[in-house]
Amino acid sequence: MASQLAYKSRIASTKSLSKIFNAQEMIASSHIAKARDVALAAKPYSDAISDALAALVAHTHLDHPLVKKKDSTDNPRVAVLALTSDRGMAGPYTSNVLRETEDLLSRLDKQGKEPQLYVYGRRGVSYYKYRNREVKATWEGHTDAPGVEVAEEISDTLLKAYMAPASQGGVSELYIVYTEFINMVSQKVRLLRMLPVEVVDKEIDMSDANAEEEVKEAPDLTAPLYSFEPSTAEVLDRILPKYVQSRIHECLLTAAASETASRQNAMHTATDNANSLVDDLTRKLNATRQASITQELTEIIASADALNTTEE
Amino acid sequence: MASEKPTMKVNIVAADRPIWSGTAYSVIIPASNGQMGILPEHEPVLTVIEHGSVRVKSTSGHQHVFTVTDGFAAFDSNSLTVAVERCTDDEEPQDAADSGASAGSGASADAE
Repeated sequence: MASQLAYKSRIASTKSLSKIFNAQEMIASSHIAKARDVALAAKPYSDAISDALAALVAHTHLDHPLVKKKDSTDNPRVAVLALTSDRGMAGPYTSNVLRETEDLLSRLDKQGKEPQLYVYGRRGVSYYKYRNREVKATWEGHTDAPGVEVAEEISDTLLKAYMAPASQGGVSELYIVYTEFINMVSQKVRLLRMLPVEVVDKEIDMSDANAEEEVKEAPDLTAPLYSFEPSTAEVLDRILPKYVQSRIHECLLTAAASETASRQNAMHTATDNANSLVDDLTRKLNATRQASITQELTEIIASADALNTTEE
Repeated sequence: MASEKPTMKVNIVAADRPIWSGTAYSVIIPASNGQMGILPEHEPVLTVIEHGSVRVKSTSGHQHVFTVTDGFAAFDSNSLTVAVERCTDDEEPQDAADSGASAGSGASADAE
């Protein structure tokens, strides 16, 4: 049985850990509201872009490389962007994303494609660095509050890779692995094919590898007849990249909210565990103390007995 | 009543937040081919915006000026949406308070 001193020091350290977890939990729950506000504030813009794109779909054939790439069939290179977190203490958040990413990578490998990895978030970056896996580009330090700037940077990099011809290392598709925020207790890892753009974005069913062939939305004939300035092609040229950027920003925001929620849950569990550990240790400490008292008593009685018998 | 000016809905959004919304008599936007004036019942149009200032003559009587960069404007069914990457609000602080009020009372402003 360990000494009372050892128990006491373990109880003290567990208590201070519990305080840290509790503080982290409270920080996370205060961040949640902020993350939700940021996501709501960005909604009108992405809605406006989706509406504009819907209008364009109704009037043009969407003959743009971002929608349909010419040399995509014989270009095996595809880009995969994994959205992980910058900091740990978020439970299984990052490991879930990484597991899904690994799944996707091996699936793409089996299909004869050459996946190229892009990683967002320090945890993911260090994971792949440790495993010596080649990563095309990384972004770190923004996962708490992803701004428009980082979304712009990411979409610029990926669009550049996508628009480059196959002979110069261009990619034919872009997948994003991110975590969708469903509610405070549940967040789900999702796989989204971002490029080529599908105007109706359907999530690819992860169990179904053939789900990639999806149909585009039928042109809405009731949409107003727009005039495009300066020209349809030019408007399309400008709006499609913005659409991609706003979709990426959306993914970053929902990932940030998921990360915070996941952290809050993890910290809540950790606090509970720490408290039950303290209870456990206190019980053991009491038992040890009681045992030592009992032992002392026995010793005293025994020695007193021994003295009595010698006197007789 | 006959002299009542026609109005339209205006919605200005930046990439990270909504900027202004309300009703207006006229809006001038920096379209790609030069300044473009939009009046109520304009034909549906979708135009690219490079950089410049959006001027809104709102129904509350204020002239709002926003400096915008990189985006587009869409007008249809008497409602103008300006979506831009970055937007700064050039109006005076007291105007900003009024713009909030006019956004809230958008429907009643028509009856003036």
